[in-house]
Amino acid sequence: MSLQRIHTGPGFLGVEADAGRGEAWPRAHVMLRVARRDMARTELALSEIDGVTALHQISGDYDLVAVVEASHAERLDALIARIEGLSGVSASVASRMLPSARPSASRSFAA
Amino acid sequence: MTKSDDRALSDLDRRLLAMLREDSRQPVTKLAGDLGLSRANVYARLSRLEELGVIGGYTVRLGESYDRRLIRAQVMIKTQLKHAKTIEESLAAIAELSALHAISGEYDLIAVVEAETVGDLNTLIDRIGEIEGIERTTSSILLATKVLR
Repeated sequence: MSLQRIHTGPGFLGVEADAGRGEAWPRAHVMLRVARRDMARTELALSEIDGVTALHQISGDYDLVAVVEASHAERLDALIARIEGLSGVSASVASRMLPSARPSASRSFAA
Repeated sequence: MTKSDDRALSDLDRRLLAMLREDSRQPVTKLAGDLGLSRANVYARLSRLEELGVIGGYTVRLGESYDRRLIRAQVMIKTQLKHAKTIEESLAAIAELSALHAISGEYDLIAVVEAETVGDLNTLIDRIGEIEGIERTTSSILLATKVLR
């Protein structure tokens, strides 16, 4: 199975999050380093994880960005650990997204 | 309609919204004609929907061929805490910024930016790096989106 290629339009975090909905759910931005030969398998594994709302290929030190969400913080931690532990992932950086104090601090300008 | 229920949308409101979602630049005369209402009535509905926050704004939808041409990048930004507020304001003033999110960890903010050429993208990232209080940025071009849901 090959993943459908979606062009990188305004979507970044996922459909709900980009629309500014579901702020209550904790989210994280996880950058992953994946060897070229493991890429297809790792992308497929990530796409099958429910909490993954967005997955992008990027240039630079890391190869993928996964945006993940869970119903509460402990689940999110477990989800991040699961993603970072996938075979094929050789390095990672996870950043928890902060609920914005002001609505303007976290938003998508392009709807 | 009863007074207690003035936040509820009528069928006409819904039809009006549906028409605006198709084309938000339709003249009010046209909207009024299609709905069989007076122009004053449509204006009143629009301002009520705006006040209720049902209409958050009127936006432009880029044609796919233009949108496809845009190069997008995520810029991870490390800031000095005392400048946090002014940095957010400076970033929000950048027209090419399509999203800005606060994060915890090594970096403090993630900005998503769009540009027409790699040169423009480079200039844009330089501009972000020059904002006072930004210690460092790390940028990655978004090459492809594999999942978005």
